[in-house]
Amino acid sequence: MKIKLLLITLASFLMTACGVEKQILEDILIAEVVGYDDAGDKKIKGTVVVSVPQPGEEADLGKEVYEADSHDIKAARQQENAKTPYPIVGGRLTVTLYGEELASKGLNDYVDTYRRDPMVGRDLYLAVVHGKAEDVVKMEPKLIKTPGVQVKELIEQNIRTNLPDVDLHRYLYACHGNGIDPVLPLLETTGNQIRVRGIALFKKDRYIGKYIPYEEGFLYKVLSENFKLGSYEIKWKENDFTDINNVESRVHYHISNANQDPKVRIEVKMKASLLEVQGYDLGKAVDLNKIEVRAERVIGKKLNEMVTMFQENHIDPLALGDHAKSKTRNFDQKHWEETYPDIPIEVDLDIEMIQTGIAE
Amino acid sequence: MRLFKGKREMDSGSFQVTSKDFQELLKKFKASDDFLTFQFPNDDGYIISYFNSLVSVQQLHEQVLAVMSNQPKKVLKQLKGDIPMEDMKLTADLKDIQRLVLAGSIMIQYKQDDEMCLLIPCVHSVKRQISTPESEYTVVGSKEAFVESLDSNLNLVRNRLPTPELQSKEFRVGSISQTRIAVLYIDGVVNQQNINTVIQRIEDIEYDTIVDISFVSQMITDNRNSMFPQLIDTERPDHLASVLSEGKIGIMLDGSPHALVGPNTIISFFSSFEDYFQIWNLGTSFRLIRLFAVLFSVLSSPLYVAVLTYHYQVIPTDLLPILISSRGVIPFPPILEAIVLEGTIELLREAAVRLPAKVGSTIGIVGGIVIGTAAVEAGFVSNVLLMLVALAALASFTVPIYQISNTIRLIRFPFLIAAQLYGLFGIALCSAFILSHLLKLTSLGSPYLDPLYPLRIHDFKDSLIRLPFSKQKKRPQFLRTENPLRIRKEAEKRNIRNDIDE
Amino acid sequence: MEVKPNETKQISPFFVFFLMPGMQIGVGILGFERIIAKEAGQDAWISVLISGLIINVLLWMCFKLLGRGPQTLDLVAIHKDLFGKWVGNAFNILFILYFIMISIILIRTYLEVIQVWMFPGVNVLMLITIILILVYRFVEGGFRVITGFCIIGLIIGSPLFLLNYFPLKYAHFENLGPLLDHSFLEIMKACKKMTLNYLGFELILIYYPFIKNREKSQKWAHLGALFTMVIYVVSILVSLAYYHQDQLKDVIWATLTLWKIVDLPFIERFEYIGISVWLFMVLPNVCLGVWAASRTAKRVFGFRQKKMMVLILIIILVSCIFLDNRYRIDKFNTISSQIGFYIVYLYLPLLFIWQSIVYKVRGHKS
Repeated sequence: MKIKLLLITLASFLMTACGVEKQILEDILIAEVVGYDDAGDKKIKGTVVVSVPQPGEEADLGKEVYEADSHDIKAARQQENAKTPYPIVGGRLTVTLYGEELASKGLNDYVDTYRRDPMVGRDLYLAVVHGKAEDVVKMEPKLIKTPGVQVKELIEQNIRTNLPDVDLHRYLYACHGNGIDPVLPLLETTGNQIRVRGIALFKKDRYIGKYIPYEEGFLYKVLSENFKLGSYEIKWKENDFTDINNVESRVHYHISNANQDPKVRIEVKMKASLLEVQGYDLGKAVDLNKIEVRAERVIGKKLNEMVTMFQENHIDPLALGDHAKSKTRNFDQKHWEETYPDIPIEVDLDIEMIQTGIAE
Repeated sequence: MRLFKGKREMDSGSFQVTSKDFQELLKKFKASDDFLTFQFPNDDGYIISYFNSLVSVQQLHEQVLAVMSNQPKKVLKQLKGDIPMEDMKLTADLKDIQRLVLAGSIMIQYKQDDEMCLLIPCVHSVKRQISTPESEYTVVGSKEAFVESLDSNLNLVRNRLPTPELQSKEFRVGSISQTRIAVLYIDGVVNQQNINTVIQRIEDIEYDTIVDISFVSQMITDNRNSMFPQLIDTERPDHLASVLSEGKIGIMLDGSPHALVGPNTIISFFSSFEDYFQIWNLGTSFRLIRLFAVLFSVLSSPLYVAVLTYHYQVIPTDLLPILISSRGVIPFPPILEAIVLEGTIELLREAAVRLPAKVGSTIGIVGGIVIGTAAVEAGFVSNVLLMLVALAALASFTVPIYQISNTIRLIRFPFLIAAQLYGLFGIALCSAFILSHLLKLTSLGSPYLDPLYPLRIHDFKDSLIRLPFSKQKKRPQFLRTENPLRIRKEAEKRNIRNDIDE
Repeated sequence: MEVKPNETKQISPFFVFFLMPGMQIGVGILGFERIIAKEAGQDAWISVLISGLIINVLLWMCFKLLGRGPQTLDLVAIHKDLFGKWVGNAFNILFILYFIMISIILIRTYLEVIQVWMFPGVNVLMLITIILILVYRFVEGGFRVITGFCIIGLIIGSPLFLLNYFPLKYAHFENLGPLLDHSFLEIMKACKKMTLNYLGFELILIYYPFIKNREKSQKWAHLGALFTMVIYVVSILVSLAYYHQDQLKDVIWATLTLWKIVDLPFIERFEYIGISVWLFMVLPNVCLGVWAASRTAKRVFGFRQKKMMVLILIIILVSCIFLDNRYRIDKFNTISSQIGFYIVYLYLPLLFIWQSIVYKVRGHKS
């Protein structure tokens, strides 16, 4: 009986040649960055960068760009396959770029495939490109001096300081949530380099065309999450600048009376260190306080302006609606949305200078 | 467990006296040229016959001939009283005569064609000197190993356990070889049922020649088709003494320098006797390292094959370029590459065992370095896999017991095939198959996966971790000993006064 | 029919602690969050908690049913005791079908996970055959081997629960508020949907005779059921914190998708490894189900257990051929959940009440 069992097992193992689809590592082209642009007439154009193994001993990877036109993403992939020696696979996709025009028409249809596909990870970065996405994608293979995928490393590095932490999961979270609107990084090409232009603002899944410039990205980050790094340049007056480094920043949202008469107060506590001063004498403690007060005033004004801008455009990237929902019973979503532009939102900023570097 | 179903009335190693009567037996003896027959002291004296190759001539001269030479010829019975040797036998039984003469006794007849003989044992045994253990070498600890002679081995063990409870029962196995086999145990500690099982199985052995204890091991083991050894063998008398006092049973065979020990569990895969010679934290760490080494050795090339063939998404981004470029030039799929490399390593291993010492080291260097490098440069195999396979081979040698390292070598191949068929899921399926086998395995009746299953928390003290001796008060539970306590009295706690209390 | 397996074939009561989660945690934990959250929103974890406590009460009823004496040592004996031979056997046959049904669900859902997540083109039939051969090997070893497999499966699978640490970095615990914003009815509806995941504890009715020192096992059984409950509660808490509520309604396998974000230095995309290791948590369930079904069949019909087991395996194979797309599997899941619900929440308490009445009457008589 045992031998029979063994034979049956072996036979069934061997008969499974009609079974599993192999994806041997060197027989596939791994897509790293893909970009989609509006190609008019309900069509999109997909451009993809793949890494190609080079013969020889050094671990060099060449990169190739392929592009194709089609109605939807998977069909574009199919069209691209018409040109490639090996199938393109998306399991290791790091960044997806969307052209400005495409983004302003609504991204839901195009993100949906990444939501469903089990091969895609949740740490995929999404970004909008000022102009056409294919420009950035085509630039990628030229930047091979530094390791890694340029765009991904670019975004990742900046998330620590000036970009909010946005990946596929957060985007989906924001898209589905009723009281939140997503944000995405905005990229552009300058000369022969790729640059972060700012933070693109969305209403649900449409890019509204407005963005927060890169320098102010720090302020947005301060408003939306707790984080530990980053620096900001404060302008006192013409030709008078100071640079403060954030050591730790925390934010709390206080929402009261959400259903009838909502009031929001955003409380930001920042511990900062001063590393570049021009004009002030830090020897006396009085001066330090003065700097604190002035910084609070200057930055506070800017933060308030930013929040007002959000309200005017009917977008809520700070997830205030979501916070309100979690604190009130029987939250009235409609009422919140209607009164959103008129809700008094107050930003309360408190900066504490704790260090001045190693010199006085 | 009987190999062939023979007749029950014959005891173990029963042999047939193939000669019908004494004359025929004597004729058979005389057919060999090393069988000497002469009359002593003169033509009318006793007829002395013996196998020259088996008898110690010195004893013959000094103890027997010297006595006989200055006395008149007596009846054999009286002669027996004169000769100062032990265990002499006066018999006409063919069985006894055949057995004793072939074991090295001298046969004395009163006169020619007499059927009654006096048999005097004058055994000349050629034995090896006690030397260092080959496979269980330890840096600290005794360097004595068993030799081929059963009596010397018993000597070594009895010296270490001078207690009357250490009992040895002897049997003979093999119808032609009639090899002596001894079962050792400590009465009062060992489980009586285990002893009975072992003795029963030994008595059921039916085979013509038993030359090594591994034959015995294969015949009395619980599951004959399993790759996992259920009875471990050891070369060291101190190891044997130690496990006997735990409650295990030892089996020794005349002519084999190894002793079998049972019952065992899977923990014996990872524990070496040397762990006990070191501080318990060191011993524990080494056991854990061995566990990791075994897992790595078995799973590394299957994982490589599985990930590269099906699951490229698992590889971290920074590792991708290295792997892709190392595999880019290779014409074979990963599975073929892995099988070729594993096959080469197996060839190297087999060759290294059989090469004479002088040529061996050169071939090792040539095989290992030159062939490996050349293969990588030719683009035949990838350097990543070469490194993995070499490390895995090295890791498989960390296992202290030789039989188990053989098992590990071979278990890798089903995993490789499973990885090729179903990737990571295939590896999981293969492990489940092996687990199903292990769960059913018993070693002399006690479950093989103890202490993992049945979960015996107490036995964990000496499994993958080794707690200090003071914590091992009881003997392992799976042995079901009759006397579980090892330490009678708690050691007194030493009162150390700390500085801070002053 | 008295039931007395040899003492050498029995397990010690401590192992019941492992048998409980071993049977209950199966494939449901990978994707149950969506179904529960649809009904109860952010209060889903309360439903899970309440469900678990109710299961413990039902478990207590089971022990009471079994503890009346040597004639009620297992389900077959109880049925015979209360309803006589013919009606009792009818109920027994129902239970055989019920156990087979659970096994089918487990295997098919797990293979569906493999089909969707790992190998889209795999030949499911072949995989099922291989898994069924594995099940045969385990079940043929007897109850002790299956218990051992449960324990080892839990030990191998437990590091996967530690993976819950990773989503916590992205957690929004505010998602859990406001507390108790749903009506009692909604929470209870979610409890009902939760039943399929807690099913499995009723197998104690079949393996009770195999436990040494039976009275001591009750404590371990309750602890085991509580352990399962804790695992489920932690799972759903993490899912609720990580996903937005409305997002959760669309994510079919919430826990599995959570594994996508695990970030270890040498492995990305942990879900492939996770799914393969999950085999060790699903297989013991199937083995226990098949064993229970074949043992009940042996007690009812008198055939040898091995033959019954082969028959049951063939039935499972054939049923899996029919369940070949998501829609059908989903429907089958829902039907089994309903049946399981009725058996566990309705039939068991009724049986318990009936037995108490009968024994009271008998007590009065004698």
